[in-house]
Amino acid sequence: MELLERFAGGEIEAFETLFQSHQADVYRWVVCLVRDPAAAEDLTLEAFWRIYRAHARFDPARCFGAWARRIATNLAMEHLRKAGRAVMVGEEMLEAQPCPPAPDSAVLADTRAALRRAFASLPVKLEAVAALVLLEQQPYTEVASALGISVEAVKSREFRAVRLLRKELKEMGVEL
Amino acid sequence: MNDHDREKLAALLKSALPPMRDRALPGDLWPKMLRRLDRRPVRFAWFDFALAGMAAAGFIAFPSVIPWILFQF
Repeated sequence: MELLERFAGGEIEAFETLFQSHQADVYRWVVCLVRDPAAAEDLTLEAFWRIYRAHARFDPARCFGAWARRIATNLAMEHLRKAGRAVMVGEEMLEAQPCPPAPDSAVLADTRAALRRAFASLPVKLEAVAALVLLEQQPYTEVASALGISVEAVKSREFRAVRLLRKELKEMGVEL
Repeated sequence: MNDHDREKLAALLKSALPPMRDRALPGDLWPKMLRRLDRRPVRFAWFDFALAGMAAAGFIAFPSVIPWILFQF
């Protein structure tokens, strides 16, 4: 019997095999969305727990990876909504992955701080698209599939996110 | 908004919020997953209890069906 069929039948060994081959992908996707490694780890585990519970509803003809990512995305969005602002915007994150120094670093530092505040003020739906498309450069099709919306809707959300970011930045006195 | 504006904003965003896509998984999560699978108690929904109650009521009301059901196994 195929692996996906065995998983759909509730076989734990099949689930383990799928977990091992997809955990890194799901974690990477979730960490891109929530931008908090510890929360991403918990959310990855919770996503797989829900996946395991939903095994009977899984259609073996479908792509497991896309299904897992969709469940994880829903959880991550839920987490962002509950947390209010779960995006890690603190300086510790910048220290963890330092940016190359720029000659006009004082001006840039202000702009970056304004951008982080503007990003944190985005509605969750727009924030998710901004994080995945603008920041992480994920393909529109993958973002659309994970969010369960069309590519056009992703582009529309991206457009609205950019417009809102520019507006917020303008109000903070930063012109792009 | 044109593509140039978008690219400029994206570049600035990346400098303010470092991309996370290359962040590696902090080790194999399977042991934690196993602990979670073991820890979670089996939960019954109200529907399960309702179904069990209906079956019990059915057996009490029509005890003659019990041998017939047992015969099916």
